[in-house]
Amino acid sequence: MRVSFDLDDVLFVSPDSYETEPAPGFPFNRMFPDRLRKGTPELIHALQERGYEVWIYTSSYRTETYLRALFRAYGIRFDSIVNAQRHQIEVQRDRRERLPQKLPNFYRISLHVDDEKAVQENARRYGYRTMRVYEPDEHWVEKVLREADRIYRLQQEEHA
Amino acid sequence: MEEKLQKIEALFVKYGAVPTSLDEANRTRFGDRVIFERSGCYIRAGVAAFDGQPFLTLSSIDQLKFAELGMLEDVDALPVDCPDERLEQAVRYALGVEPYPEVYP
Repeated sequence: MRVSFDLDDVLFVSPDSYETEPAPGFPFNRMFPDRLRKGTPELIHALQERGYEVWIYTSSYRTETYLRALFRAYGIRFDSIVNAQRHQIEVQRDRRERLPQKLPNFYRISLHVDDEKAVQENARRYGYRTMRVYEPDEHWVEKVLREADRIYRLQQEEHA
Repeated sequence: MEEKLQKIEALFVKYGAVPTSLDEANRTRFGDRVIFERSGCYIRAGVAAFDGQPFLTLSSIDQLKFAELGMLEDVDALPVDCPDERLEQAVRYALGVEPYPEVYP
């Protein structure tokens, strides 16, 4: 099963409004100014320990190289990264119809975690599952894990 | 500093990277060093200052179109007095010769 995460305001948050993970040591804290929501490494590792693939699916143009280096500084490895460029090449392609910025079901992602209401609304229209995380919540890790496990069990039933 | 940078570039070659002629115009303009390539990984040695302190940097990208413009991402930063063994290890990781360990740096 695949679980994906948006970046801005989901995993990357402002320390002015959210509790964040300690920044990496100098000079990596200067190379990678984005700060991680508190609990991110714990959550990603917990999902991977359950055997789930964990992806990033972002509409930003940050390169895969940059993202892998940044998350490495936090001890996190993602199974795959979809950025805006990859989405454009693989999903939008040369279609006339403008597709949404994210189409998790194209990549067989079972659960996509995002902050945007539009992503949640598109889920009904385009047939994918999403969970909205958009404000400080000290229980966000447990909530995401619980939802991922719920979807995993649903999929097991569907395939039984 | 130049000696360290040349050591890093010699390590690129040691691990099978070849120098390219990419981004020559900007290299002249901005003083960037030569970009090397190994199995689709474009890599360059450099120097960057963080809080006024200089560091040796390894910058890389895996897309030719960005490499052609000299747009590589900093993936590692090492103290300028970094031992040679540490430099070599960093180059091995950056080139993908060896996978990064679970916790890095």
